Amino acid sequence: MASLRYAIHAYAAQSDPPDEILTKLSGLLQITTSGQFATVLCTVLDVGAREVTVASAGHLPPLLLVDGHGDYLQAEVGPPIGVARGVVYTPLTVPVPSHATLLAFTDGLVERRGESIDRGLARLRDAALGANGNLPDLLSRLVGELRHGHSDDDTAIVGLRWTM
Amino acid sequence: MDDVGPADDPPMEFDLGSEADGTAVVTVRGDLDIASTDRLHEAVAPVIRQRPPRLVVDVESLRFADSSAIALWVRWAAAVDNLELRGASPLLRRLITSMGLEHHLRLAA
Repeated sequence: MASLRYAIHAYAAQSDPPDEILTKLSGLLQITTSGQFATVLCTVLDVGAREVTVASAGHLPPLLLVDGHGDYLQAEVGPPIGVARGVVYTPLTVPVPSHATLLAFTDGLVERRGESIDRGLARLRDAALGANGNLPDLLSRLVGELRHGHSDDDTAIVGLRWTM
Repeated sequence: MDDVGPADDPPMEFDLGSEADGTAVVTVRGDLDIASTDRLHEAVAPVIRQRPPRLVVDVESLRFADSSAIALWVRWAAAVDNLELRGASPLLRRLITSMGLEHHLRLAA
């Protein structure tokens, strides 16, 4: 999967939009030969325009926290990378208000056995809205609370906060 | 402690069968996850190599499947012309939809 990360960096460096990055990635991995696929959430921040654009290859949506409200950025979810070549993904662009926080994460943070993924997403939103403090503290607290006793999958979480 | 795992964590079990029209049927029970997908794939790979006209994966008695299970089914679906996932629970259907795979795994009642 490291090769996909390097490819994302290369495509992003040439300013490809997130949906096109995913389409290009879809030609780099084939489940028929590798035996695996990769879910990818690709997000581009336009700092000047205060916009974020997301595209999803089978990945859970990022959570945008603004003024005590939490909304998942539900871009249309296309198949994970590796399932088919040349897939067309649909991007979603939303404005980012002042002091917003964006959280992207892997399924290990919200998935529990015998429970719908929607309950896990609701639990994350509640936990994020109930937490104060700086961003590193928020991330540590979310991982500590949500992963407690449910640590059978890898977990990654990325947080971005707009300070103005 | 002589438990080898949580008491509510049944092992994955499976049966291989076929129907009169040549359809191959894989019935999976228990929990199918990263710990058990290799074992299942090793057993099913010879069936797939025989190119059955249809492969039915019966998951009605499956208690839990994670993304590695879904990756396995997608891999099979790419290798046979016709794969059908039979008896998927609402939780499993939701997981498949959340991964954008509802058009790649054919779901049957």
